[in-house]
Amino acid sequence: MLKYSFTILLFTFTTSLSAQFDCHVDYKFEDRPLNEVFDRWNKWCKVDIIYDVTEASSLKITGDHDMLPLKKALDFALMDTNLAWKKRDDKTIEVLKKIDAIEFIKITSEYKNTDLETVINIWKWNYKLDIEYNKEDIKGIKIFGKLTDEPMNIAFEKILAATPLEFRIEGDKKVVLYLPEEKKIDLKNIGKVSYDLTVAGVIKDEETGETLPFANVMIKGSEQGTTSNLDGHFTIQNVPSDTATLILSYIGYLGKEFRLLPNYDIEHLELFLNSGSNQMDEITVTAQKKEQIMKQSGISKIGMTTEIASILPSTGEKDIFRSLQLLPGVSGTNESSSGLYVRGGTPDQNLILLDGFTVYHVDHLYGFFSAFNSNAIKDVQLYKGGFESKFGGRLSSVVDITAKDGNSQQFNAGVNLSFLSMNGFVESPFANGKGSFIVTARRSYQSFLYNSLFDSFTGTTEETAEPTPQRGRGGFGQTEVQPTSYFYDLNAKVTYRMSQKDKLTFSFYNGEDDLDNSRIFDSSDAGGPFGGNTNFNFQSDNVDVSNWGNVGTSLKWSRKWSNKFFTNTVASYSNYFSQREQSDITTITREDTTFVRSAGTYEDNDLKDLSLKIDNEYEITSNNKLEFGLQLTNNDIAYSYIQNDTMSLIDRANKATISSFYLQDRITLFDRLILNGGLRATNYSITGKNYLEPRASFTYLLNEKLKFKGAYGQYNQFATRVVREDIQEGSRDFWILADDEFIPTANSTHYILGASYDISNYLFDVELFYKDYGGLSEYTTRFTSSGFGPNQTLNLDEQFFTGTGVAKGAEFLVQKKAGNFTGWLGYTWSEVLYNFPAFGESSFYANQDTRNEFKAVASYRTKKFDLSATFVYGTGRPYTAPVGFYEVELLDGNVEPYFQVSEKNALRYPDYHRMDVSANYNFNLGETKAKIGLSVFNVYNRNNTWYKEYDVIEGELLETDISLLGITPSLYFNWSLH
Amino acid sequence: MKYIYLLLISIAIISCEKQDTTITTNDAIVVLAYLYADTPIDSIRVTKTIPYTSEDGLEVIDDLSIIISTADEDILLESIGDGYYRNLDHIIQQETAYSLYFEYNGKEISSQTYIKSSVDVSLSRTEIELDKVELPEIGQGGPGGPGGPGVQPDEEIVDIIWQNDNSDYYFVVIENIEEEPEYVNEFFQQLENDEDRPQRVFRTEPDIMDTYSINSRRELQTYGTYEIIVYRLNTEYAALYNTVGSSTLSIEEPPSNIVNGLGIFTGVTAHTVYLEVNEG
Repeated sequence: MLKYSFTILLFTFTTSLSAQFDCHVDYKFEDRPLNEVFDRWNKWCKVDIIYDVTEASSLKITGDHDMLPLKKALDFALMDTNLAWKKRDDKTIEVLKKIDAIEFIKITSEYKNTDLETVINIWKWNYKLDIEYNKEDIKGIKIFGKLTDEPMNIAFEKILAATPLEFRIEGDKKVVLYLPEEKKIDLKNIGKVSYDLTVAGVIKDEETGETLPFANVMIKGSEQGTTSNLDGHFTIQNVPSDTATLILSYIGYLGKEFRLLPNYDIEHLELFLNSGSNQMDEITVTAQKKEQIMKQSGISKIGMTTEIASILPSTGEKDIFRSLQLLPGVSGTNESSSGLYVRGGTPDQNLILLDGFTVYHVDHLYGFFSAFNSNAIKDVQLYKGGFESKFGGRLSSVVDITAKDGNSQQFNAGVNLSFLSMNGFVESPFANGKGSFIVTARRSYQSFLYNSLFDSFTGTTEETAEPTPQRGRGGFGQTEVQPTSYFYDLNAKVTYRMSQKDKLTFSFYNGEDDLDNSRIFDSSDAGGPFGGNTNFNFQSDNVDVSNWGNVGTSLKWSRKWSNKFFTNTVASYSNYFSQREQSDITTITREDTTFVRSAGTYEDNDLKDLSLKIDNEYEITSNNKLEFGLQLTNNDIAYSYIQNDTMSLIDRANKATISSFYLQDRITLFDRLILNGGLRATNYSITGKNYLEPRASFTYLLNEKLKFKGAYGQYNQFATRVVREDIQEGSRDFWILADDEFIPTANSTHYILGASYDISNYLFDVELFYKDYGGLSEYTTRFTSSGFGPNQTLNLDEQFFTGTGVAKGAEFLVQKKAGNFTGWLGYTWSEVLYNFPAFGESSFYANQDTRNEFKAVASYRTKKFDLSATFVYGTGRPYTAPVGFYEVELLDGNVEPYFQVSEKNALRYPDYHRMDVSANYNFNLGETKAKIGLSVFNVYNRNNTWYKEYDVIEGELLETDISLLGITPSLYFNWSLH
Repeated sequence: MKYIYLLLISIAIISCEKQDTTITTNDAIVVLAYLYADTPIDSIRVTKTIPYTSEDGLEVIDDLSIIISTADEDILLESIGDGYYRNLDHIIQQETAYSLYFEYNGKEISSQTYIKSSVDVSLSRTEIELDKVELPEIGQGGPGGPGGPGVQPDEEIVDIIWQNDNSDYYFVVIENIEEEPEYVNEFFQQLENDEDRPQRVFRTEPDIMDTYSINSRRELQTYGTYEIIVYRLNTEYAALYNTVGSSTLSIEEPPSNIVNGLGIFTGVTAHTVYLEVNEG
């Protein structure tokens, strides 16, 4: 604790040192007495270091640094001694014993409307302090708040934060309270300190000018505060005075205190925070606390910046969704999917929003990477459950992603290179900083690492891919091909601030995966023994092409009607597409006649989402915030499965309009109890029904550290993704709309209870959740016969099984929030049981059921290095397996095995565990920034089972474990101008 | 600190839950029964499924009282051992519905199928000539290998044609019925190992079709007489054929038209034509 206090002391004073203290001194000594060193520095820097000669001469220092700033040299010299230094005036430095310094007196006390004079008298008496003040200046000032083990200097800062008074420490025991001259004038004009003020403004990144959403703004010395909205705007009402201090914090950024002054335009503040990423030239390690990169806030809500993805291990692509999978309550063992399994839910039950538009497919490369380019993302908020009324249409969770606006200060560009992809961005201000834009683009290339990942998903060899063998045909004479595959994504955003009150934002996203496993044979290209007739041409095209992805765009108008009333209007379009063509087209040209024969299957799923959202926030009072809005979504979903060009096996097309209105109110009572109640009403055009979804949550602050929380909510989902596991053929999932005939409207009810214990460096959090599911669907296609006799037909029938489910569990989080070493331990116990009458009377464990999951995340950061490691352990997931088999001799003479299968999900894969490590080195390339990193995925090469394959060889059933990715090192290099 | 203890205790309690993952193995009855039109009943077998954990192999079921019925008669099958049953006295009739019935361990196992009528199958030509492909001389490049799907001149195209107004499933078997046929390509002829040579029997997949074009480069690799059989199928066979799933990601119970059992009971009608392939 002593060390910590000392650090604060350093910060307090080193940040205000004058030029003399920035003078650089030689630090090459060997066992040199400290008094001699001080004398040398006194002369060199023309300062006066005052010290106890006896004490200093008994200490000897050794060092081998060329030149250091004086303040840094003092830090080094006094490190591991019982001495501290502090600035007395512009030219004088005092070295004194730590125990004598006022800063080492600790205070723990609570004041409830106590006169400042009373507090001063108590402190004078208890701590033998000499406190000097003018009685007129402190008259009438009341103190409210709690001090816990605070150093005396911090205690003074806190109690005076909301007053016009300032203080200075003179010597060891003297404190002077005074009213600055400028405030005396103001007070004279105003008559007294202004109370009940409204302070409003916007919070931005100091370096790029990006607005920061969900940043915390607190009034120092009180529990009062707020959070910035999506556009970085905040409003705090009932600020005690126009000289109060605001405490700003945002995930991944250095915290900051901002003192108001009466001459400020307090309703249009522009406040800046620094991410700390551009301070490499400074040798001094700042003592200012950096906000953690992952922050649990509120009920089941977690915020993250993409910085976390750049620190944690990866396979070469920093991936924010993979980082989310390291949180308790989000499954981390689904290596083959970057989709989120949140508290027993499936990925399609998550509402994924990017700048207001819904993203329906979040995977690249068979799910190994998410579709979101971290370079384009500013902020991610994950709501694991119990989410508020302004979100709807999904059963489990919400991931609200805000893309970067682009640098509004200066032009910037950067490149990321890895073994998997090339990733670049360009950002710049325009129109004199009123506007900004950013374009990020990423494309994979088929490196050895890419092919290794690709092969692990498709089962192809590195060199060649065998065409799919066809039963009974022998495959003779077929050509071998190298499949080609790639993914890309493009993000673009343009922001234009029309006025202080209006902002327009245009955001665009396009991401796609392509797979081409086609073969072409053309007789005109063929040699060999069969060449010949020039009037004849034979061409055989085996087309095997898949592509899937998203296009999304939104246009947002943000309007600040007043400091209390904001409106965001978003018009958006989102399109998910998935196409697959697998066909043989034979073209025979004889003389002037061409015959074309084609056979194959064509699948096409196309989802269009056209939406309009109007979200309003109205700060009625500082303790009451009302939000209401309207959301209209038009879904147009088509899915077709065609055989032989003409025969339509499945042809499904649905259109629906989902109209929602919500109202929610957040009330703070007694400064301790925060209640949030809301109602969402939705009309769904296909069923014609209205759906009411009441939701409520509370947070009770028992004291500064301990709080209890709870939430309840009802949720409905109208669009469902049908998952079809076909690993070798890319994404064959498709979206459909509920109709309450074959596909029910899915619903869930969330119950959440929890508590968190938050101390300065650690957070302990526990949440219990229970989710009731109704209207769950499972889908299969089966060949079924209809009719009998000569008119019997075979149909590919879609079968939807419907059922219910329950997901319950407990999540535990212990987080080390601050310091060079940060990270967390997370444990989740959960159980997901489904009950589908079609699969039997008894319930079965859902595919995503994982009983125990433990995660450990650790990162150690210095100025130049980031070292991190993650470990994930999870109980094996359930699966359905053969319990027996039988063989059928088919009419073509082949003998094929068929399996008698177990009860649904009756078995479990072996437990999953994996450790990843990474190291990054940050350095400057001239005036530009660079980073090189090495990451090792699955460092101890654990063979985690992905799935099992079965075959019958000579009458015996053989089981083969198909493993997920083994040890995979990757190297990456990042560069940017700033 | 007490909260931390509470948290750790909670973790410990919850972590200790026992997990049960039991499965039941049920060795079901499997019936494999093809009824070929215009032939006696001689292709029916009854077995059990082979449990995953079994070391005993296939368990057959003999001495069952299996009855095949039409609207007019019941035909009792004779158990001839190794799970096989037959009745050589009864010839399967076209355009007739058949049912199967027997009891085992108190369970009634039954099924139904229909024997469709045969169709007239014709060839676009019944005789073709293929030029012999000679081995190239040394120094003129490598020997002719298997090559691609084949380049066939106009005069070498043979179409198999039939009527399929009902959109039924068919598949075609093309087989050279000579004892030791000569290969069109000398490269294959001179190979010593028969396994290195192209297959002599070609089969298509069940599909809804009314014509099949023989790729002479692939399917007529030898000279002599070819027997071409066009099978007309029932949907239960096509459904079983199209069911593939051998991984835990996609495994499912295969379709079956056997009530209280697994397997298939289906009728098959065949029509045979012949094609002569001569040296040109």
